[in-house]
Amino acid sequence: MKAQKVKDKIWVQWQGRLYGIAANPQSAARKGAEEAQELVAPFSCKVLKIHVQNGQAVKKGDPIVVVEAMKMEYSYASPRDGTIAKVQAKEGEIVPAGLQFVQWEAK
Amino acid sequence: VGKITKILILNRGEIACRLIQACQELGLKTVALYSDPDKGARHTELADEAIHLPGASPQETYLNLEKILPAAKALKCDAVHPGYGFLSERAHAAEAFLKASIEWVGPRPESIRLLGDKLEAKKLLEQYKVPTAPWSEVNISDPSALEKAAEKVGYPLLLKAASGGGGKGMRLVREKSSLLEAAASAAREAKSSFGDPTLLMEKYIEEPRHIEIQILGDLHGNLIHFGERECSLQRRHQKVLEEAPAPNLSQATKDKIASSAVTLCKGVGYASAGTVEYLVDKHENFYFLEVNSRLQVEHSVTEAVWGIDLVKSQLLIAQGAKLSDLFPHRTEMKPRGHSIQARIYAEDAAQQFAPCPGTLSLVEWPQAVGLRIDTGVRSGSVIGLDYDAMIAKMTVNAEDRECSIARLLWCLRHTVIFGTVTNVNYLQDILQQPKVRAGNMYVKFLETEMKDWSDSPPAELLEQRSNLAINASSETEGGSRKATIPSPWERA
Repeated sequence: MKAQKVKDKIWVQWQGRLYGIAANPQSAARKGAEEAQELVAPFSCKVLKIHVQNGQAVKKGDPIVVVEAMKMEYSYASPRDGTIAKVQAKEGEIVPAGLQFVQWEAK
Repeated sequence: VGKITKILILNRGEIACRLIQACQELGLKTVALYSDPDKGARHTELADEAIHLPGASPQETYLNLEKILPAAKALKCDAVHPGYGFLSERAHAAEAFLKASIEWVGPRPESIRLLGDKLEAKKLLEQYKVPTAPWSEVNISDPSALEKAAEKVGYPLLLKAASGGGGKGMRLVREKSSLLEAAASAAREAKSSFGDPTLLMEKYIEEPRHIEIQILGDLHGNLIHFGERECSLQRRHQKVLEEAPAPNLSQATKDKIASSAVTLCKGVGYASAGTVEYLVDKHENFYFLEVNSRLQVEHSVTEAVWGIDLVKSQLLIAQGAKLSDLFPHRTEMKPRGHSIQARIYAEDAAQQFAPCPGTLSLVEWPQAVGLRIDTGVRSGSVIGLDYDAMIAKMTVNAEDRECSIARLLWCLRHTVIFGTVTNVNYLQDILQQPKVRAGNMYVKFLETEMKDWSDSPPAELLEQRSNLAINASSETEGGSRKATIPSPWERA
């Protein structure tokens, strides 16, 4: 087994497989997908379609946003049930990595 | 055509490194190119000289002929190798270099142009009797003519937008009763997507395999092949695992496909390395797909089983060598054993294969019998979003297919890539699939049978998280320099 801590993540080779896990189990639990407050652009991309608007109630698995990067489309679904508090991104816009597409209302 | 002394490597990453090795083994000087994010990259260190191309986007850098050509002239390069991707299949680039008396190590621009033109290629296929899926033009205003044409093409058939791609305006029609409605709706979609309602229909090939033939031509009109590769395991139309020879395909069919590829390419006077791609159905009928007028990513598996070096051959051919001198015993040559290549990507196979840019905080390859690693990165390298997210190609060869799979699995299980999500676990799980083990792959295999693949850290590992952290912190010296960008779903 091999492991390396980089920032708040531990990268592990475990029984021949590679994993990146949160270094701190508390923060990992707190920030679980079910409790996510926002949906963040994982990489710089172009926003093709936003399926939700402010105040809309969504269910886990509902489509939220479709983006394009490297000529490929990626669609992101809601990780939880909840109400959209704020839509940050606009269709057609190129957004940097880390930008919040949408925020949920706190549970 | 003449002696080459100094060659421009018109590419980056693993393929630039591979090209440089072949050039240097032949005693040629090499000149590398690098963009801003590629400063200090492995290929620039291997080369004898390097030219900086300011900027990061491909347009500003590796595609920027206006900058590259004068720089190549100034450094007195007498040849250029384009690798794959970037300018490799652009006839105008080949022409520009040749006009400047810089030899293009690849097919002649006329061949690139001819084979790249869909309509011209269709005519060539007829001329050289290369099998292609039956097809017909579509006239939706005349229902009886449409039904007749469909009868001739045969069901199931595929309606396609003539001027588009990407699945828009495409309909699979299994029987006559649904033909007219499908054609009308496909035409509407084609009109709204591409501004042109023109459709064509093509016989639908059920569960086809992707089989391709490696060809090599010289500048004296001679052309030979080096067998086939099986490349059915693809995601998003990109190959993930490739192998040679193809399993479960009769020698008679292999010979027929190879001979059709040779006839076509010899007919157009193709010189240098190239690939002819085909779809093959369950009954071993084969249909032409396209010609790739360049060296391919997966050329390594062909090199492994035939015991050849395609890049060195290309370089010698560009200097006027004849195939009969390079391979005097071609007729006695046979592929030996089996080879598989895995493409290792920085991507999340559980999240639509989204690229996972970041710093590779640690990269360690196994040391193994029968293993070849092609890579342009190492610990500390950054995988960015400006270029392909491929980290490396891992190619193994062994005495037979089963041993080759076992070897590739062993090598993947002894690979360490930290700092970003990779497809290493996904590749292992593909190789464990019974249909893959039995050699029964088809083009949509990953899309259908691995669709719901996911990969969570085992509970046993998470329980030991705090112990891991203590161990881990002692190993982080010289670790990441830049923050990785976490995917929003990694928290799950």
